[in-house]
Amino acid sequence: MAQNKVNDNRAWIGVLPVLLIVAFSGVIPLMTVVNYSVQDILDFNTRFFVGLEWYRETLADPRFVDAFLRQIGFSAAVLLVEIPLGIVIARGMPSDGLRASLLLVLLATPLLIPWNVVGTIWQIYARPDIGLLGVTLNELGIAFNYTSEPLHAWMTLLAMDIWHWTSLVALLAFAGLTSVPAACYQAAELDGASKWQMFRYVELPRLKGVLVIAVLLRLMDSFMIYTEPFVLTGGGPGNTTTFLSQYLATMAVGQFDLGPAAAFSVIYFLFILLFSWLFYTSVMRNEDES
Amino acid sequence: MARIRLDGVGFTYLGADAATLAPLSMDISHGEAFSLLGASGAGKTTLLNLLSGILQPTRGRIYFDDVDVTGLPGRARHLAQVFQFPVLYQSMTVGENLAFPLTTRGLNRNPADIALRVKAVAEELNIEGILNRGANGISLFEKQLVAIGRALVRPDVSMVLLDEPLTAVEPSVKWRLRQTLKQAQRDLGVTMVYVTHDQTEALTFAERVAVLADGEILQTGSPEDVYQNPTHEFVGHFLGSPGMNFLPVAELPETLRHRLKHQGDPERLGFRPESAKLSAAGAFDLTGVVSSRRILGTQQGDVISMYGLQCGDHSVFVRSSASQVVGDPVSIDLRHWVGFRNGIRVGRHGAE
Repeated sequence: MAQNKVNDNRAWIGVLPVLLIVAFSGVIPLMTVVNYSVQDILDFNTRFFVGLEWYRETLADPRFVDAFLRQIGFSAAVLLVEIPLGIVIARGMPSDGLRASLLLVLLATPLLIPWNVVGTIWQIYARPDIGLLGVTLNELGIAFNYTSEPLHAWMTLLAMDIWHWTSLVALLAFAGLTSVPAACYQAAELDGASKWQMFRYVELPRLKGVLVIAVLLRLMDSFMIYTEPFVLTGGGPGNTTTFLSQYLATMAVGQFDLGPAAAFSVIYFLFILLFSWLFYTSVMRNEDES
Repeated sequence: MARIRLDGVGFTYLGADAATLAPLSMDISHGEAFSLLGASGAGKTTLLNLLSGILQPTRGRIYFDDVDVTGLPGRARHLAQVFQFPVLYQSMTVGENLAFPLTTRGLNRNPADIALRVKAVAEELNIEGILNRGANGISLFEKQLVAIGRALVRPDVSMVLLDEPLTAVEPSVKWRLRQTLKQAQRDLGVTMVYVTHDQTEALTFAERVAVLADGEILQTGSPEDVYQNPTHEFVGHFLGSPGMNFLPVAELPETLRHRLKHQGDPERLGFRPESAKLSAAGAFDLTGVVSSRRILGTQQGDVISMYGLQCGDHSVFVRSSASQVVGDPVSIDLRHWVGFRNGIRVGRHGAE
């Protein structure tokens, strides 16, 4: 084989289509946004360079800060519920057989529903006048109305996200659990480990890999949530459920403020990158120490 | 430590026609190094799972020190197990792994006592140097040592089950691990049941070996006894490399046949390659022709060879210091043999 090797640069030609596609679909659009973020665009022909002005403005914008804080609150809340709940569900699953297969299909169902349909389902489900959930809660004496009560809107949004995405965590955790060798449980059993110790020392260390993926996926996804709140609450009541992406869409598409919207996008993108990196490195650093 | 007694223990998997384990009885004494030897599918793992409480026998009783433990789960039997591959708590250090079995069961042991015990076991296994290392960052060999250490750490353990513990270890360190294990067994006086398909491991480790085939214990005895005086043809064939030679008595020379009539009247004669002596043709009744020769090495200046011989329709192997070449007719003197009828020993002759 080695003597057939030709030393020239022709291999680059083979890579060229990929480079073109990546540039066309990824690098150039992203750089366009970066380019817009440092310009004030009045119309297609009238634009001038403003430097970091839009960044300064965006970071000082109270509406941005509020949306950002809401976003963090929302992501933290769904992670805190979905990760433990997913693990609990995965641990309760039968390990194999027909029942396991059926449950897996059932679990995967919410993941297959288009996001705007999920929003619509919950929009109807939670309506206080005709929705099953809304009517039931009101019958129970709770004056539930997610269109007027910010707390109710939040609760409905959280419930919807948990309903939609806990399955993903459960499926990942289930896959992780099936890879734990039976001998590990047997050894812990003979060592006299309690149920908690069994989970903490046998299962959790072996789930770490999939849980890191689950947390990253849910963190990024919940941070970018758009469709469901847009359908369910439209960001209201008031701005109480307006998250970052929705604010951004209003700015870019609704008001055509391309410069500020681009700066916003870049900040948004960097934050997601930063959070994911912080999380990943902190988890993996512990790995090296142990 | 405990004395382990199996009384007519049998096991049939749910829905299976035939029993995986035929009712068997055996006795393992305090502090004994006991080995269960059998090919895969012989029922070794089933027997192991019965001992460790994963499976419940479908008949018979299991006693640890005259206490009936048949229905007890593994954790209540106070036993420890070493698996084919090292099973460690990967998020803990080596020291924490060793201490773990001492901290569970709600036993409020004194931390100083635990540290002492961990240190003692670590010294026995020569792993004091890695006590503070993470369990993930050590070699496979060390991991298995730690797993063995965790099995030995509880002073109250009634027996240690070893399920082919050398499988995952590299061949170059297998021997060392086996020596360490054997040494620890002697020093700590732990009852150990070593399950393996590897005859070398079984015969070098154990004081007593039980040979298991098709769910039955064929023979239990000292390694020498099992090797030299197999009670079943299978045992003779299974042990040794190459295994025992077998010749049908009907095809032996008349004089030899006559002698055998009074020694249990066997159908087949079994002998080990090293219990026959080769000489030039004519010296003994049994004759053959050299068909192959492989030199094994020298012993006290003599060249030792493994000869393949053709005796009538049968080929046998003889280990000898004689120097013959392929095609030579030779005569064979059997110094030790075992006679079998229907696969079961009926007579024997020669050294014990």
